[in-house]
Amino acid sequence: MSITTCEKCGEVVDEAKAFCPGCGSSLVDEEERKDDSEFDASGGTQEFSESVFNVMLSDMGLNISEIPDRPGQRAGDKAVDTTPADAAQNNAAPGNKVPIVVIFGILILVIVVILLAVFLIRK
Amino acid sequence: MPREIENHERIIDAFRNVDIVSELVEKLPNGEFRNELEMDIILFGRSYRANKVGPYARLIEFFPGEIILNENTWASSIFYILVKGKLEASVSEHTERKIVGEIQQGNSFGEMALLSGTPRNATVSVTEGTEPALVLELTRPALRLLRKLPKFGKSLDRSYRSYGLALTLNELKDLADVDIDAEVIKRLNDAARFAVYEKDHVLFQEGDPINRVVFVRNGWVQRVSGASFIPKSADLLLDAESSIGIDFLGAGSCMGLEAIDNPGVWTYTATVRGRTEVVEIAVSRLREEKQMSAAIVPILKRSSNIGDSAKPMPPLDKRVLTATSKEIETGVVDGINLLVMDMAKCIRCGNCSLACHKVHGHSRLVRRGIHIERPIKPNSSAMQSVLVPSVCMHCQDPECLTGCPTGAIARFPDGEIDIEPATCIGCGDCATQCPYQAISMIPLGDNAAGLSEKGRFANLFSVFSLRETELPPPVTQTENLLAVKCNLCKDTGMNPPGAKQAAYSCEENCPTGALVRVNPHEYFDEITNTIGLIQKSKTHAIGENIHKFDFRAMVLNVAGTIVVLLIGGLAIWATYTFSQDIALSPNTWITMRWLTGLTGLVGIVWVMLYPVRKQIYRRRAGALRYWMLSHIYLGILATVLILVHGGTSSGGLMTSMLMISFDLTIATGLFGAICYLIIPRFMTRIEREPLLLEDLEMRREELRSQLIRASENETDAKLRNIIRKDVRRRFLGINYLLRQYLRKEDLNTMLADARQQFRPAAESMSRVDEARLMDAVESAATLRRIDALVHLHQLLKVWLAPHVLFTSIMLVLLILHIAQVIYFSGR
Repeated sequence: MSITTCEKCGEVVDEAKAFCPGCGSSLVDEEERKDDSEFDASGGTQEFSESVFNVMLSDMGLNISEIPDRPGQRAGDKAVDTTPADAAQNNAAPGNKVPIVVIFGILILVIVVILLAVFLIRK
Repeated sequence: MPREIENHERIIDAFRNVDIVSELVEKLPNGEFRNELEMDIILFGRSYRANKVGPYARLIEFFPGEIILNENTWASSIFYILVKGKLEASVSEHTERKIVGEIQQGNSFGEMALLSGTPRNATVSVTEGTEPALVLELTRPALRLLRKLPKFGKSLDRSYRSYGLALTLNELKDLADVDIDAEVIKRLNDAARFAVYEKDHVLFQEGDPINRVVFVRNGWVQRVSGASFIPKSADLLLDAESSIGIDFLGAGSCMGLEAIDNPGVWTYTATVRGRTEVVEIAVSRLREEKQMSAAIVPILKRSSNIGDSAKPMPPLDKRVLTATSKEIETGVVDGINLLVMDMAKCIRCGNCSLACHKVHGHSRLVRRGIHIERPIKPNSSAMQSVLVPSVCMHCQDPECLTGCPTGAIARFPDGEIDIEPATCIGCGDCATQCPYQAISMIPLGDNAAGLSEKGRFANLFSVFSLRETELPPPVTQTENLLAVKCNLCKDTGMNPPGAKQAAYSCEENCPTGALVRVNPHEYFDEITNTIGLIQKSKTHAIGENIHKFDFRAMVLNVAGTIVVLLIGGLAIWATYTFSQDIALSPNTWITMRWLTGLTGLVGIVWVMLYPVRKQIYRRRAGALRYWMLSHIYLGILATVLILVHGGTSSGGLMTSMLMISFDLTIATGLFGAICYLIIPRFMTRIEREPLLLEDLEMRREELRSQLIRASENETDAKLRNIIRKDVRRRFLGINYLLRQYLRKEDLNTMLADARQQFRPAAESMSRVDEARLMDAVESAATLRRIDALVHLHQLLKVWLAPHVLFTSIMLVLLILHIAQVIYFSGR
């Protein structure tokens, strides 16, 4: 059994192991990314584009397309129309219509039967 | 029988002889113990506010053949260290026991079940024919203190990783259903590592080279493609960017297999959502060792329900993604036994909380919590509004257990997490730790929490009581408390010894079936689709998933309708054919009037059993939702029969009064049933986030005060007039109230529209006045929304008082009528 030493924790490890049993770090050669990812390049912060920002505003119910154009009083240009007002209404839960209708139908049927019974008996 | 050794010197010696915990009893050059406080608590215990904390360790001698811990049990708040002797680990295979390993002297065992929140996976016993074994038994709090010791901490981490890896490989081996060569397993063990990541850890980013195959053993991973610059908030971009793909992967899924044959880069970013255990296998090893690769890759593919190189696709329905995300982020999917309420069925009666109070002496169920809106099917317009109330969900990885200084809160053998009142010192640590506010503190020795308990006689009459249920007083004391939480009604009349199925007081006493206990992995379809085959649910307490299909309710509905139509129709036909008062056959006294009267009476007696059943909380008496259905259907049937019984003549004053009271009882009952059917659905669509009546009333008062303050503003007469006249007239009128019911619009949309209406008036105002005006507009519009909801809550209760009143009158008159009939028949 040939052995190696973990560079990270110094543990003596069997060379057959791909990871150090002591600290879990990799003991095999792994390809590394050469360039910074877009996320890393932004220093771990998230930058919102204008469209994302507008979506966030409209999610908060702020209809930014309706902001009056009063230069000097408010920041920002006329925004693109991203209001979800209609979409929100379309997404609104219409609920379980069919079962209610069926249940209502049964109830009405039962009431009609009762009324019919009363009518027939009293006739 | 195992023998506990209580001699202090021997206990200290036992610790000294075990390398991984010897630091605990290590002495300084001056003779004092280095970790005296920890040692004292662990070994001998200490006093804390007149309660004893600890000891957390016991030295026990087990004899050959004796079992120390059992496979597949949940009593995982204890772990062990072998001081001396020989132990073997075995698992059951078919009907036999197979020895899988030996515990080495000085090693710990049983701590993995404790750390990972899973049942024991092997039975450990003393090897036959050897000398007795000395074992240190340690409870969960000891682990917290011992982890501070460098040797023990390192050893625990190492054994956790090695155990996790071995366990996962075993699970995969079981899944393969074929024998995998032991050499392959060994090589796989060498090529892989086990790792645990906390929430929000990024496993890899889009564009990183694929170096490892990642197998998710437990937990959740979010995959995002096409948004490498903003992976954590990619869902915000979905509306604007159609190329972004997002999905979730659960336990049993595997990523990166495509790189074994074709080296490449990740096409998506993977982020951990919640505590996640993974096994990472070095891709280079899988490439080099073809035999290992050929054995393991098909199993990984089979377990995973994603394709080889599948990258997340744009969601077909964003609402499903949002629901999935919320279910995972809040952790409700990781509950072992989850309480859910379908708000479209919930009639806000509070009977669930009351039932909990009746069984335990204090309610452990608060009808506030996590709200999830989910489409019933992808792209379906029908939405389900689910409330996960603040009740213990018996998490797989419970945070409440971590800080308990006495180990009073623990996972018990059947998997439920409960608090041992005798050991609880009322420190409140568990209540603080619980992220779901599912643990409450009550005064010690006051289980009734201030509520008066009535006698049996008083309970009988409470059937007719219309009084609001008395609320327990708030707990004000800060000492002498006891932590309480849901224990799944264990050791109560709901689950007597020998009961085959578990029953829960809250679920059994819900009159509409809105509340059920479920296995979240089965209940939430969107989650089921994300987990692989290896995900096991055998430890979950399975609830009837009645929100989708309640077979018994369906049978009752169908049978009820048929019985009403059949017997009702038959009674009408028979009365029409044979007449009311002519004997049905020459030799009998039975007429249709007698027959319908007697059958109707049986129906009424059954109907009256419902309020009696409602008073039974502490033991099983059949689920209230089925009683409710029988109450409604037999009530309707009794109506038909009694009307036929009455016939064309209204009779004397008393029988006329009886018929009128009967009609009114039925009318109010039917109105109530219709309210129960419609209003919760209606209310859910308006309120979105479920709100209690008390919360609504409190908020209404706040908004009223705000509006009054705004209209009494004396700085600007114009603003004052607009608020007093225009705003109040516009929003506090009947039209705006009706709008709430008719449009059922989202609150934000409604407020945006309300602001828009007063925008022209605000044009000429200063910024401060404009803000004041908009505040007043929002307060008034919101107030009307709250009014609308309060009225709906009231409507759910308003029918009950007349229904009970007319029922009471009817019953009195019915008894008199029966007495009258008996008297005249006898004469």
